[in-house]
Amino acid sequence: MPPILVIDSVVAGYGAGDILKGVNLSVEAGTVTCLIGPNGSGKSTVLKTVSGLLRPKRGTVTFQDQEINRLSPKARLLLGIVHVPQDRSLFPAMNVWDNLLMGGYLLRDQKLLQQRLEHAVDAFPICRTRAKEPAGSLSGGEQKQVELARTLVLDPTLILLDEPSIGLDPRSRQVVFASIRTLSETGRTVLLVEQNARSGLAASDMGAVLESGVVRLVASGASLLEDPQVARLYLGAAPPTQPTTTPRATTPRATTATS
Amino acid sequence: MTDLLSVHDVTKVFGGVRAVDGASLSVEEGTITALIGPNGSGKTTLFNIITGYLKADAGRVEFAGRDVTGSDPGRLYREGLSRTFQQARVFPQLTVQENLVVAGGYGWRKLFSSRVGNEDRERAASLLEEFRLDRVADLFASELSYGQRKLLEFAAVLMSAPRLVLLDEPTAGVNPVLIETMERHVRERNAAGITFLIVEHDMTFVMRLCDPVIVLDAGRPIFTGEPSVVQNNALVLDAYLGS
Repeated sequence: MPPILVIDSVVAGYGAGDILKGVNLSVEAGTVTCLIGPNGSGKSTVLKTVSGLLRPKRGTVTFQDQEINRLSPKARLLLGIVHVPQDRSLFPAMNVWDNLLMGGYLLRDQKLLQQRLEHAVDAFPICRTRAKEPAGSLSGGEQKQVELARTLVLDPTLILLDEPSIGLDPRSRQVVFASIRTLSETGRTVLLVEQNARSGLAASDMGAVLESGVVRLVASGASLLEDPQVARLYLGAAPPTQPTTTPRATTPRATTATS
Repeated sequence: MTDLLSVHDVTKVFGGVRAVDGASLSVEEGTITALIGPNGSGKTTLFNIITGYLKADAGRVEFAGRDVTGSDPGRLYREGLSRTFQQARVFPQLTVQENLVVAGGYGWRKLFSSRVGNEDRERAASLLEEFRLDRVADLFASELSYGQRKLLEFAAVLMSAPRLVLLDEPTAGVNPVLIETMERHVRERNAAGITFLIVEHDMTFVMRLCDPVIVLDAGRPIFTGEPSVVQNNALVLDAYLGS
C-alpha cells in the first residue's frame, strides 16, 4: 500500500527565513508517527504545511495520492485531515458541550452528528460529566481531552497532534497516550509532535528526528528509544525504571498503589 | 532555616468551583520546593495569588516576613519575587536579546541612556548559547516557537537577582536535553542563595531536583515530604501519579 501522506522536499517558513529546508517524510496509513527534535527545529511547522495553515515555498505534500499543496485548510479538513494545535484551542467562554459541537460545524446530517458525538463522548467521558461548564474553567489537561474528543466528531483520517501531552499531569498523560493508540486502532493515522519524546516514541510505530529543518533519521519508535546516540542528542537521561530514585532503607514502600 | 514564603488558609472560588480551598503551605529559604498535583488542583491559581495576579477570597500571604496579601505583581517583583508562566510571557516586539536586557533589571530610562554592563552582556550571551537561542538572538520574540519562548522566559529569570522564583511548568515543551541544562541552572542559582518553588508534571525532573515536594489535591495540600517518600505515598499515587 502506498503511504497515506508524503512530504517531499518541503521548504517553508515565515517571512524571510526558512524553517523547513527540504523535509522528506512518508507516513503509512493506520500508523502513529512521532516527530521529535530540538526546540525551533521546525516540528510544528511540518504539521502546519500538512493542514494548510502554512503553504510551502517549494516541495509537495501528497495525501491519499492527491497533491494538496494548493488546497485551503478547510478543503483539507473535508479530506479528513484534522490539526490539533499546541496552543489551547477551545472557546473558553463556551461550555464543553458547545465546544464539542463546534467540531461538527461542517456536518449537515444531524443523525450522523449525534452518532459522532456519542462516539466522542464514549472515548472522552469528560465531555458528558463537565458538559455545562465553561471550557475555560477546566484545567489544561481536561481541556486537552475535550480537544481530542472534538477531532473525533469529524471522523478524521489523519490526525495531526502538536504536543498533546504538554501541561498534563502524569495520569492525564497516560490517558492521552492511550487515546492516541485507540485512535490508531480504529484505523486513523496519527502524526504527532512531542517534546515528551520518550513517551511519544513509546506510543508510536515510527519516529522521525527533525533537526534544523531537515529530517535526519526515520526508524521505528522502539529502535529510536534504544539508540544511545539518539538518547544523548534528543531524549536526555532515561527516567529511573523503579519508582524510587533515591532508595532509603527506612522508606516504607506503598503497597496499595492501584491505577 | 526560616520560611521565606508562607500561605495561610487561602481560598479562591471561581463560579461554583473552589479552585483553592483553605490552603496553607510554606517554602523554607534556600530550598528548591516542588508543588505537584493533578490538573485542576489549584497550583497555578495559588501561584497567581502569591504573585499578586489574583486576589484571594480569604487568607493571607507572607513573603520575607511581611504580609504581602493583595500586593501588586510589580511591587512583589521589586521586593525579590519573580515568576514564569505556563504560557511563556515574553515581550513579542523586542528581540530575544532585548528581552534578556530588560529582564536584567534596567529601568526603562536606562535602556535608552546607558549601555548594558559587560558582565550582564556576557551573562546574556552565555545563556543564549546554552539554551540554543544564540542563532535567533536578533529575531523578535514573537517569531519563536512555544518551546523557545519557554527557554527565553527561563533565561530572563536567570538574568535578574530575585530571592524567590516561582516556575510554572518550566519544562513543558522543552527538549529533554535542554531540561537537563535548566536543571543545572536551577541548582547553580539555588547554591547562590535563591529559593525556588516549582510547579511541574515531569516527575523525573522533580525527583532529581526538588526537596521537599508539596502535593496539592482539590485546592489544598494533602502531603509534604522528601521526593522518595512522596513518590511512594499511597495517597499521592492515588491522587496524582497513577500506576
